Amino acid sequence: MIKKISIIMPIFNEVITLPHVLVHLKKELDNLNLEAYEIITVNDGSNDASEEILKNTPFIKLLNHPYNKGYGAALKTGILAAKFDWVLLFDADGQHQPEEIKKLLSESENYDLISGDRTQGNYVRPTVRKPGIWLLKLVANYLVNKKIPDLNCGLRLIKKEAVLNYIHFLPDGFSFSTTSNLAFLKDHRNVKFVPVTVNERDKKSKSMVRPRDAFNVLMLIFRLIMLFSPLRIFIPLSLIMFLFGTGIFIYDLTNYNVSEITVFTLISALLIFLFGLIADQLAAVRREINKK
Amino acid sequence: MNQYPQISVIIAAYNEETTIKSTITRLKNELSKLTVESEIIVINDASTDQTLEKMKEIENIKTYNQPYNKGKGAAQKFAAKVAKFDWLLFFDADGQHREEYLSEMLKFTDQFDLIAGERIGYQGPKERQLGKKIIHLLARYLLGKKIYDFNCGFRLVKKQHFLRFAHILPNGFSCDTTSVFAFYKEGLNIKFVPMEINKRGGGKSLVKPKEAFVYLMLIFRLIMLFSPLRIFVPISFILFIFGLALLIFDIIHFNISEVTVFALISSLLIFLFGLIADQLAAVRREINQE
Repeated sequence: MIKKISIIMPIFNEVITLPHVLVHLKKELDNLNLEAYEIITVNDGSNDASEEILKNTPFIKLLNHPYNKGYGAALKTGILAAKFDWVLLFDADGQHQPEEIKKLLSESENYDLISGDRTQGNYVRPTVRKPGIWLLKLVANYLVNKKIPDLNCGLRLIKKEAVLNYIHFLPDGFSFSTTSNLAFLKDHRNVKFVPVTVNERDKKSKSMVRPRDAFNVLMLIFRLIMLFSPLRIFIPLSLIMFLFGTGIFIYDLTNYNVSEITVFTLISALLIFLFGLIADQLAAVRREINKK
Repeated sequence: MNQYPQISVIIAAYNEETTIKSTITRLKNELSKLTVESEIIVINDASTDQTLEKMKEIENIKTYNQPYNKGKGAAQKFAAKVAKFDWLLFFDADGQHREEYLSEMLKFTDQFDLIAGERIGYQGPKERQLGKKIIHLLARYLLGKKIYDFNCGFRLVKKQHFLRFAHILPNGFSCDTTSVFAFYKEGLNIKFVPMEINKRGGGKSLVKPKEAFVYLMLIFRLIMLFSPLRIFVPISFILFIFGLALLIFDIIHFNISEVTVFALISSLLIFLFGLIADQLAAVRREINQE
């Protein structure tokens, strides 16, 4: 059981929920029987009164971004400043319940990343995001060969030494959570999902995920595959081309006339396969230089 | 205790005989007025005029000579390696900057990693207008930010970060522009301080006609280094749409043409190229980071 944790809370304009969240969180942490903890709040360039509230809260450490840099960037700032070996990421919007922290802590043995899983409980996803998330999950599951119940729960407990390995390419935006899940899974680290219940989002405060993020997440997935197993993109593509080419080739043979399309398709299959080998090499280079 | 950090001033001089002495003297006065602890490093980039002689007349500066003209970026990188303090102050030798903005810039050193001048009303030489416009559009596309002045030579930089990126910074005048991109891309904090500038003193503008080409190459390099997918994905997408349209046309005529297959496959290949280019860009950026 972990005895010391650093809690990291990114804050961007959370003046309504912040006071209650902080007090509630501290109360729960005091009850948890920890040897030591620190609450690191990262004010991500808020332009409401969030900073005032943070300044007047004695039991936290406050870090400031001079302008808004994004959810992931704020988490990175916090992680780099954390002094304990385990970091707990906790959102400031009131969605997470501090009581769930002990569930995560109790699972920490043998794992590097323990993420909340909101799908078992009362969590209702905004309808607009459903198709996007579904597609993302499909791709993500294919890539890591595993079922990921909840891709982007913000409540998570991470071994600091592990996450520092990926800090360079974890994104600055909201895709931080998804990416860190995939990175840990693809790198064969031990990941555990623990069902948690969440508070309903305040109806008035709308989700801050923009539609552009969906495209970014898709690109990010491609990047992750390119980093951990590029052949998982290239070989299926090459194979499809090859089968297609062979099909037309047989058809061509029956007509005693080999067409340009056939040749082109077969050559592309070969090219894509060779591209894949190069990509695989590059991925190895990247992983090697990022290892400490 | 001094309220300001210690700084290493770095001045790269190439044929600036008329302005070098007054520029450094003004800056020195300002530094002592602000009681900033500093050293001044002047790199003579193989000037062919009297710059070196003029430099020797100035006391308390460290001078270095390049054996032949290597460019502003090369001089800055060299100086950064010999600098002894944690903050670097770059200052142009041509007398265009006004040293009184230094105190304003120093105020931001506790929160920011790069504090650069943003020249008010500065248009720059005519030959560069188009290149500049493109760079600005590019910055908005690549970084999602509006930046008004990329290459003001008056800037304060945290040495540790400058050295991290030194290997990707070019040797020529585009060093300043590239470092702004690099700092943004790494999520470091950048502050622009609006400032007036003096009319250029003696030295003539260093822009040569061939710089249009250099600028163009800079643009491609910036994209390839920081987000190659931003080139490859749109091109691939256009080819895909084109191929798709042809395919629909072909299906109507019950005859799949070579052009259609060619367009669709190229679209795919270009996308895959893009993914590989993206990997290479990451390798380049990551390779020298500790």
